[in-house]
Amino acid sequence: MPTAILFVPGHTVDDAHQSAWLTPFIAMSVGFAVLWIAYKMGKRFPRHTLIQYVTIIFGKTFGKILGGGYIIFFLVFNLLIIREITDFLKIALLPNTPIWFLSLIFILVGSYGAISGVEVLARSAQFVFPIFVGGSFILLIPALQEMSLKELLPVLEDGLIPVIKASITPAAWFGEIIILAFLFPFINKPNEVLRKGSFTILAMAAILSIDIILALTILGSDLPGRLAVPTWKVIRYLELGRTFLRVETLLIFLWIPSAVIKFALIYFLGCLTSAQVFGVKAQFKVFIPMGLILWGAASFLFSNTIQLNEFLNKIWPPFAFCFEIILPSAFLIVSILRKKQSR
Amino acid sequence: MKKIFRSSIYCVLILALLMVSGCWDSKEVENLAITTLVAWDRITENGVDQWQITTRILNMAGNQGGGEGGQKPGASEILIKGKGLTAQEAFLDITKRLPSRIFYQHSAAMIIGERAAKEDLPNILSNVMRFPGTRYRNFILVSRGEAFRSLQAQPELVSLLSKEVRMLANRTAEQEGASERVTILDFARRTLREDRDTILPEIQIYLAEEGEKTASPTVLLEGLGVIRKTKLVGWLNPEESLGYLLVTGKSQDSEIPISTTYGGNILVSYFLTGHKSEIESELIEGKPRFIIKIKADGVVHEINAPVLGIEEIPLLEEAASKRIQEIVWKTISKSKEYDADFLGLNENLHRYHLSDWKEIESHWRDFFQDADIEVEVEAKVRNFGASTKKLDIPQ
Repeated sequence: MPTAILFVPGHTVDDAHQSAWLTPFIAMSVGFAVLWIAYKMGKRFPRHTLIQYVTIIFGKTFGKILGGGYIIFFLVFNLLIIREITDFLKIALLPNTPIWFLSLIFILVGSYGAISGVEVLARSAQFVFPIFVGGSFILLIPALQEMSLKELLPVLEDGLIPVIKASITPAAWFGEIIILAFLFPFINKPNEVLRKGSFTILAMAAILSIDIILALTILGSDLPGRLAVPTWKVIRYLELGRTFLRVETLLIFLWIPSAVIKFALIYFLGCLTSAQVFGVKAQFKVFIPMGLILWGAASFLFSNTIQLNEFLNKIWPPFAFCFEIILPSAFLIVSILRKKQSR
Repeated sequence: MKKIFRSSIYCVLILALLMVSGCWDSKEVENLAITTLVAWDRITENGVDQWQITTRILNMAGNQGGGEGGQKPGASEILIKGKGLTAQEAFLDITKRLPSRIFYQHSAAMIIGERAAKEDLPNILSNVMRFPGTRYRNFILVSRGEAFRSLQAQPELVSLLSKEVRMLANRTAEQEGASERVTILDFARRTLREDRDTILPEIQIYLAEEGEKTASPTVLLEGLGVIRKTKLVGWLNPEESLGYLLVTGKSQDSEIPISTTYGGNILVSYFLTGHKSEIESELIEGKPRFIIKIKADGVVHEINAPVLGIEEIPLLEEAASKRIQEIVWKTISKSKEYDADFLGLNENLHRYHLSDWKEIESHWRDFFQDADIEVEVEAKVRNFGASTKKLDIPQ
């Protein structure tokens, strides 16, 4: 979510213009589908992660190949998170600091979180999330007086199709809930997954929609689609009287911890997956090579934000859908047909 | 072993504190040249068209001295100029001379010269919008002639010209009905829309009259420059600018006297304190029709005859409504004269009557000249200041 807040408005407004605020609610359906699949699979294999039950369903060789695919998925996923963070920092605060240095720092901090394990990450998320949401809502107060709601009119100017098209990018973000399939063995109240997961998806859709409405009502219906990080420009525009200026630093302060937690979680899952695929017992051994690969890739794979945005908009959604919804649903169907489940 | 590991981690953490200064982007405040106003001009020098960028920069050294000695406290600004084939070259021309790093993020307003606004507005706008340090809340103004000249003006009541311009642009101009408050964001938002044209507030130079005890020249904000698509095409005089504000704006604490006559030729000043406007639009037989409805609130203090009583209110209201209608009509006829829909009438049609808009979308400009426009004004007189009955002052 922290990354979505920054980049989604730009992607959606580009296609859907003033109707972009509807896109999270369309994209949300992907989230629900993925959640349901992850939940069903988790029910069938309550003590296994996705990689482990894929091996059970398809046998060793095929399972390993699919597992390898998921390692790549997590690597790319993580790489994008780092790039989103560092690119944003570079645009917003530190234009002269090289990307390799920023990503190195993030990987160091993130690895520390990942090594500490999933429990530590969950606890820190519990701590950071309320502050993040609360802080963002405080920033909403000065935004209210700047909003001109007529920017949202006319609704659905070019029909539904551009809106659906624009939903594809945020849908990839909603599909990220597939990580539940990897976390299932760690969850102590698996029965609540469906309820809490749905609540999360709804909350995220609402927050994203508010975020897009802010960008639309303050920046207008054309501008957000053309800026690299519209949310940043919105926050920069806000001021509370002539006393509270430059509130954007507060946003960064709130935003970095949550981004680091997201990064650390995906990093942890990437390492868990590779440890399980390669049969390495000590997870610790995987962290260093993963970190190095990520660092190299994050520093040199994209040369600028334009490329990153192109990738996020065009290549990432189909790639992500493949691993988030197509493959898992295939797993579910096959496991039902072959009547495989752990007892 | 464990102890060594721990202590080494602490060392790394403490070393990390060194990085907090901002890594590669470390900047010290003393080394910043803070620009406060930027003027963009196109000039021709030796037959070559060039950009001329003029900025006001805060004078830090002057500020320090001001605190101790008996001089006038407060900061001062220097004024420097740069030239180049592109705008960035012109900026470079400025930075070359400065011992410190130039810092644009804190500027109050940008002023565009007449020629630059006629020739190269898109370039200026895209330059400003793309520059990561731009604050969209900065004001944007246009001046007749070279914008450079308005930076030469002196502040009147505050210590800095930039502060004066900012305060004028932020409150005074709109409150007094002289001009609109337009930020870079407002301007960009309107310019990017294809269904309307826009305006820029005009900054003028005021030369003190003989005997006035004030700095001279000074600036004032009055009037509007009309931008058709992305070109400056003309100007609105103060009255037409007031009409623009009445149609587009909504005000609550304005202080605008509108003089009118009633009952023969008794001169009366209708003091506008607030107003609300609404535009209605529709397409009738392929022809757009716009109705502008204005509700005005005001008081009357000043009148050329001792007649203020409750029975006069309807007459006064009628006179004020008629006068406001007249002002608005002047603005509308200017809008047609320049063929620029800066009032946002077609934007209204687009927003609220989508199917009608789709019919004329591709060639709405052709229809604008013979669009039906109606103006309905309802002016109310709330009170006569502190009096409730006639003051029978003998004439």
